[in-house]
Parts: sequence; structure tokens; C-alpha cells
Amino acid sequence: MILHAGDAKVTYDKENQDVKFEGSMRLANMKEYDQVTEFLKENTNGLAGKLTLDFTELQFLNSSGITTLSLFILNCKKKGDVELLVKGSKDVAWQQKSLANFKKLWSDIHLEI
Amino acid sequence: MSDQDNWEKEKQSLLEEIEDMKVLYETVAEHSSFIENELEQKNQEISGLINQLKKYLSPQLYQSILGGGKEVSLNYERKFLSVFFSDIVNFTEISDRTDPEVLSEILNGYLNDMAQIAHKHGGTIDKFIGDALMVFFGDPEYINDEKHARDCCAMALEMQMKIADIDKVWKKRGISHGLQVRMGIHSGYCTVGNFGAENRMDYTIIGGNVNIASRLESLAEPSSTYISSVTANLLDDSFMHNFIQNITVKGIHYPIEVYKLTGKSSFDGNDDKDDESLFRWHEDGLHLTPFISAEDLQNEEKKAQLLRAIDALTQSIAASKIDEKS
Repeated sequence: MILHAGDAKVTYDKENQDVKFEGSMRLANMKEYDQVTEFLKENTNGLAGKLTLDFTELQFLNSSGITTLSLFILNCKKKGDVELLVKGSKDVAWQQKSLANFKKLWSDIHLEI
Repeated sequence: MSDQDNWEKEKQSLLEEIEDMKVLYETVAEHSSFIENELEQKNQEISGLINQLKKYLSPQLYQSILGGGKEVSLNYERKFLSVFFSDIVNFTEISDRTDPEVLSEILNGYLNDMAQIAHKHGGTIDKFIGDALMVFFGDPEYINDEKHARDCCAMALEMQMKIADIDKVWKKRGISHGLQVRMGIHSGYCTVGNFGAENRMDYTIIGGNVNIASRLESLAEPSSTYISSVTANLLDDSFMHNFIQNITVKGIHYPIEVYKLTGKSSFDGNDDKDDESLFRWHEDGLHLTPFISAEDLQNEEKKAQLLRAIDALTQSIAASKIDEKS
């Protein structure tokens, strides 16, 4: 399953339970990010086991984007069905600090940067 | 479970949610700050690069590109322009006889002064070719043909005045030839735009009329400016010019009338009301008195201007006497 969100692409690999984010995610506001929220919700609903969020190819994420992803992580934490693995890249400047903050939202997250 | 327990559980849940929201808020704020800081840093880098780039562009072209007015692509158009060329007399010999360090310094000083005068008059500097300078009027900003011709000629006259000052400095620096410059101006339709390759282009002008301007420059006597009849016809009465000769230019099937640009009165033209020159030309000669007051002579700039003009006038009279004798 693929979602094109502006200059970004979100791909869900059902077999590996892997969500890959690519490009530059800079939708205008939270309302526009509803499509991303819906995409994540539809594909991960009822999921159990390991779920990977792969940001290694995501060059840019604006503040509405980080809010959307943070809310998704809090939702996963609340449901408690999945084990989250967050992958980032040292080569993308924003990821080191901001992805590490996901762990503050949910200490059970596994982080690979 | 009692109501009290339910309330406690609900309270605990809300507190946890508040704590999550607090962390979320911090996450978003830190992420935003990071992006803003990076944006600011990138802006500073871009500003630095633009400032470097600015030195390679004329102010008009810089404004046109950076202001989004002109698309930077391989396109061109035909426009009526006034085109100016200048070249230092005997520059090859000067460069052979002068230390490279001194030569670089004085040449850059000269070109810098000329560029400032060109900018002041609204000229677009096309390029520096060694000691030569190519300027045009009419693009990217077009006003009208007459104004462009007037501005171009006024620029040339001011340059020649400045060159007389620079000449003294050059002689003091040991350049026995001093500084003499030939200038040529012609007006006509040219092709103006970006030429080259997609990833390396020059904003310039081409065409037969550009060649005519260049030819007029090469024909000009040292320290003089030759203009074509096309340019001369665009000028108002405040500009003085004398017919020199007809010339033929390769590729142009008609003779070009050549005039020598000799001067300009400052209070006649509509465009020059701000020009506070102290001189005015009449048919019977140069009038100074009505424009010079004791107050004027307290002004150092006006005083220097007056002394320069008297100096130039003296030299001109002396030269004409030598010509008469010969």
C-alpha cells in the first residue's frame, strides 16, 4: 500500500509489517495530515507483533508531521498491541534529536539510528 | 470497585495522558526549534552566497533575477538598446611595462570607478574584457530609447572626466603613458538574453549593432567618445557632438555617420535636474558666472569639479592651439 502525501511517499509492507517514509513531508496543517493518520490506522489496525517505522529516507518532517507521528505512537502505546521499532539515519540532521524524543513518549520503543 | 477507586483510576489515566501531552508538546517544540534553527542557518548561507554572486551581476539583473522578474533560462528577445564599449589606449604596452601587482591594482581601481559611474547612470554592465568594458542601456529595465541614449552618453562623459583624474594617479604611479580611453556608442535593435548551455549561461547581447558600437570605439581618438548618428538623433540639445566621418562596417550595407561626443550642459535636460554641475553651454561658448556663487565655492565637491573643468578646458585650448600651428 502506498500513500502519496505531497512530496512524501508512505509505503506499508504488509508482509514485514514495515511502514517506510520517503521524501519531504511538509503538508500544510494537521487537517492535511489526516490522510497520513488514516493510512497508518487502516494498515495497522488489529496488528500484533513488531511494527517498524522506517524514517531513514525521510529528509524533512515539519511540526504538524511530528505531531501526527507522535500521536500515532501514543495511540500504539495506549493499545499496547504492537512492539515498535523506529529506524532513522545519522545522515539526516533532524532525525537524531526528534526520533530520540519518541522514546520519551514511549520508553518501550526500539530505536535504531 | 467503588466510585472512589473509579475516580482514582480515571484521575491516574488523565494524569498519564497529560504527561504524554507534555512530552508530545516538548517533542514538537524541540523539532520545530531544530527546523527553525536549520532554516535560519541555511538562510544565512544563502545570503552569503547571494552576496558573493551579486558581485558578478549588474544591480538591474540581480534585482530582476532575485526579485523573480526574470526567468533564468536560455531565452532571448530583440530590444532597442544603446550599447557602449570602452578600451584603454596602448594597454598592451602599459601591461608589458608595469609590475603585475601594480597593474592589477590600478586596473581594478579604474574598472571599479567606471562600474560605479555605469551603475549611477542605470547601465547594465555586460562584461569586462581585460581592460575593456561593455555596457548597455534598455534591458532588463526598459524606459524609452531617448532616455537610454542620453543616459549612455552622460555616462561616457562622466567617465572621461573621471579618467582625467585617474590619469594623474597613474602617472604618479610611474605609468608614463597615463590613462587614455577610447569609447564608442551606438543604438539599435540587438538580441538580448541568456546564451550558452543550460548549466552555464551568460546574459549578454549580440548582433550587428553591437559590432557597430565596438567598431566606433576602435575608431575613436584617444580620450574621446564616438557615437553613431542613430544615437546622436536620440539625444536632446543639451548634448554636443561634431560630425567626424562616414564609415562602413563589415556586414552593414550602408555607411554609418560618426560623431564625436564633446559635452553636455547640465540644466537643459529634463532628466538631469538633480545634476548640480556648474557649467552651461551656449552657442557662443561656455558660461560659468550665473551658476557659480560664493556659497558654491564653499562646497568642496563643487570646487573640485570647477578646478577639474578649468584644467580640462586649459588642456583642450592648449591642444587646439597645437593643432592650429601644425
